[in-house]
Formats: sequence, structure tokens, C-alpha cells
Amino acid sequence: MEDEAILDLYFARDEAAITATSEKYGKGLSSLAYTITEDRSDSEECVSDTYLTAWNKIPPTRPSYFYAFLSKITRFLAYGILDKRHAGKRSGVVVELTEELAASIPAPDGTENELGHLLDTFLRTLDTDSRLIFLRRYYWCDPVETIATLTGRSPAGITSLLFRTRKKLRRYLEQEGYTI
Amino acid sequence: MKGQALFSAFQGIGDDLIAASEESAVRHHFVGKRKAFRKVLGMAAMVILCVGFVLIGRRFLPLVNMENSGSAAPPLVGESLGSSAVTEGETGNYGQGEVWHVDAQLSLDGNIPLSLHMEAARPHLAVGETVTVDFFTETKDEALVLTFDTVAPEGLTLLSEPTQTVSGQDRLAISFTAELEDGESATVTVTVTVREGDAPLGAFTFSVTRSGNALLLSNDPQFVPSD
Repeated sequence: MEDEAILDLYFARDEAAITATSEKYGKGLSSLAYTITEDRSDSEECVSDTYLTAWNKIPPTRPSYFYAFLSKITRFLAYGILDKRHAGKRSGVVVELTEELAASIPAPDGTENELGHLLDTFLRTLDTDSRLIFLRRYYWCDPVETIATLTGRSPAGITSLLFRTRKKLRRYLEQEGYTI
Repeated sequence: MKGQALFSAFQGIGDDLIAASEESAVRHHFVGKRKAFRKVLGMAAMVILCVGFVLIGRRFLPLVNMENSGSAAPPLVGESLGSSAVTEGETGNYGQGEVWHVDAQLSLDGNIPLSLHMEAARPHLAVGETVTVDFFTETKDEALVLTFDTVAPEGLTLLSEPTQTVSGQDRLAISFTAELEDGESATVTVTVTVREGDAPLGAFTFSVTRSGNALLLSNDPQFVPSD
């Protein structure tokens, strides 16, 4: 079913919207949630809560990019679950990604919203390949090997490109007044 | 943990960017890019091959003619002379690097077709240098032996044998040096005979003119069949 048709169901307050969403995007959302939480029941809870949040937000919101909209909710919920856990129980992927990004971003100071806008602007300055690979790694949490397969490049090439992109990000944020 | 801040910051990225980075979109982007790259690579390879073939062709085409195994003679536009048809090549003065030639298409007794071709390619033709003119023959009668007798007039010194024979599809070359005064000309005659004692088929003639320090193979190179 097309996204527009699914959204029409949400607007009609038809519960078939949840079923249609689950059929079309449930697998991808579960995979994303599981990658972050590394826990089957937590990821199922995330996905269920994603549907509920979407149900509550639509209407009045009518997202132009439905899957992107859902994935943001899933990520937000999955990181919420991680926050409740002890740091030692954080998933390996999150620890790995956090370590990679630690040298490129400032310490948390409550300005994450502003940082989000800067990140959006920064990503739009990148060439398409770098932007897609960066997002696959740090938004969708794909392993380097998966990105290599997806793009037809070598894992070493992906790692190198990510390294250069993180350096650019650090320089960009420093220019914007952030202290890394 | 500092990285956690960026994970929150990712929530601020535009949905359009997120949508563009969905797995299917990324796969489509890179597959399309690889296809485009392969297409460009293929076209580049084709161009290189074509250029290579052209260069090789330009370099070796005369040799292919020389070892002609039945390929068509150069286009002929001739005048019928009884049982013989004669076609003359381009006339006039020929400058540096140009190809100068004359073709003759004959029909021997028994209707054996014979094609004769005289050619000189002269990248650098100057007074004091050796001038070489090539002759190619092409006939279906491989046993046919042709004799070429060259007469060099005063002012030219023949370096090749004055009498040479070729058979079937073969080539020979005559070479000479010119000791002409500026503006002076000399006409070379190369008579072609099938068998000793027979009347000649005809003769190639061409003249050499000195113009300054350049030598010009010039003035109506032709093949005149015998009566």
C-alpha cells in the first residue's frame, strides 16, 4: 500500500493504518530497534510504541517521508530504553558508534536541538556518497561491512571515508563555535 | 558519553535526508552510479580501441595492400582502351606528406585481370634525399611474372636495379636521387612487360621537379598502355 493511502487511514482514524504500517515497515523498524537495543523484547516494545506515537501524531501531522518519520520515533524510543539501562548494559553497536563519534562532537550541554540543525546543514554540504554512507553508519547503525556490500566499496574504503567525514564534521562544529 | 549527544542531534536531521538514505534508495544510488561508471568506462574503451585501430590501420594499410590477397583495388574511374581499361591517379604537384599514386587496370590475353598501382608517400622529400616509388601488382594468375624496366634520365641517379621482376601479388620499389637545378624537371619511365620477348603492356611515367630545396613528384603521373 502506498504511504499516502496509509496516511489517509490514519486521518480517517481507521485502525487498519497500524496493520498497514506494520506490514510495510514493521520489519525495518524492528531491525533498527534491535540494532540499538540488542534485545528482542525491548525492540518489540519500541516498534509497538512507534505505532502508538504515530497514531497520536497523525493527524494533525502528515509526514512527507513516512518511513523517515517512523524511524525517528523508533530511534528516539530505543535510545530512551538505553538511557534507562546502566551504562554497562549499552549495546555493543551503540558503544562502538559513540566511540567513533566522540572525537567529532561536543559534550552534551542541552543544545542538541541546535546541534541537530547544524548537523542537517553539514550533511547537505557533503557529496551524496559521503552523506549516504555517514547516515547509514550513524543514523541507521549499519556495520561497515554491510555498508560496503550495499555500496560496492571495500570496508577499508568505507572506514576511511567515515574518518574523513568525521574530521570535517569536527572542523565544521568548531567553526560554529563548539568546543570539542 | 559525548556520542550520545549526537544521537539525539540526529533527530534534527531533515526527513528528506533520512528518506534518501533508506536502504533501497542507497542501493539504487550506488548501483546506478556503478552502471554509469561502467558505461563511461565502456565508451572510453571503445574510443581508445577505435583510435588504436585507426592508428594501426594508417600505419599498416600500405603493407596490407602490398600483401594483397584479393582485396579490391582502389576505386577506378577509367577510360576504356579496347581490351584494356586505364585509370590514372590524381595529377598535379604533391606536397609534403601527401600520397601520390596512379592505378592501371588491365585485361591480359585470356581475360586475366591485372591491376597495377604506383604510389609514393613522401613525408620528407628534399634535394639530396632518396626518392622511393612503390609498385603493387594484383592478379589472379599467381604464376604471372611481370618485368619492370626503369629508365632514369639525366639528372636522376637510379639506386635500385634497373630491371626488376615480380610475380602474382607482389611489390617492388624503385629509388633514385635527383641532382636537378632549381626549376628543372626529369621524367622517369617504368616499362612493364609480361614475358621476355613480348611487347610491353605499357609504361608508367612521372616527372620529378626541383623547386627550391624540395623535390616534387609531379605533372600527371600516368600509365600509358602499349598499342
